[in-house]
Amino acid sequence: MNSTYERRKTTLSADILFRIFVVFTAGIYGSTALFQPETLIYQVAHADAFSELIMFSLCLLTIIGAVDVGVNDLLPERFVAKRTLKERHLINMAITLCFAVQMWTCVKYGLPRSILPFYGLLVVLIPIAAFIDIQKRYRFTK
Amino acid sequence: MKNDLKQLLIATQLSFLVLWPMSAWAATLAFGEHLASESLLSILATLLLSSVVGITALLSALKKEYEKSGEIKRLWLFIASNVTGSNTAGLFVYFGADSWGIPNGGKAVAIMAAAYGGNWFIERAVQSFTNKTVPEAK
Repeated sequence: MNSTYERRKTTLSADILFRIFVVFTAGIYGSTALFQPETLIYQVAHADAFSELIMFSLCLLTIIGAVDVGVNDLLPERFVAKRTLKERHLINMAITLCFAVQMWTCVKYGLPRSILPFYGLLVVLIPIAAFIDIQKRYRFTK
Repeated sequence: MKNDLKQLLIATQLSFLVLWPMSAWAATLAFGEHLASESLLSILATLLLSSVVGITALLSALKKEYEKSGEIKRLWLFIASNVTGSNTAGLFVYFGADSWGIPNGGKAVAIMAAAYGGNWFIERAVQSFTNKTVPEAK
């Protein structure tokens, strides 16, 4: 019983794993959009000036998200990035908004639609995770 | 007091039922051409984009409410009122922007701004309505 408890204590929880997944996905998306001109992601990200701006914002948000995950989730408890922890839902939703705008751009410019399920999945799952995170951290705290 | 409240709710329901077909009819007159030419996919993408803005505002409101009182009664009403306003305003601006000839980038910004505005408006409307009809919690 004790060993089970210890193991559960040291295993990464599902929401932390999901946040790591989001940051990695956004990071890979950003780097592909910047450096891989032959990909569909590059085409979507460079469809117009606004889409490029959104892509650069996504890169910036990925760095902020990585700081949040790295410091608040993975480092020992004495390390805290208070600002990113407080505004975590906004960081996650800003990343979602970037993906939603890219999806909208893809549809409006008539680019190949094979990438839409990727955007759709992230646009649906990240808000759900952010909602659960808010419920977990703030509900019944008063 | 209870009768007044009941009458007010019936009047609200009646006005909703009377106004809804009129507004739907007016919308088809105003945007009929665009509704016929737009693909379902772009409408769905617009709905998702405006929903994301609505959910962002919703999460901030949730956090504020939880910090204030710890729990929200009728959570689904809270969620629905926030997201519905965003979706409606986002869709209206999407069809409007098409007829005003705004480029795609500007259209996305307009949809996001309208979605935020719609959310703000509905939230205020719900707040003022509930304050008038439900006795304030002590």
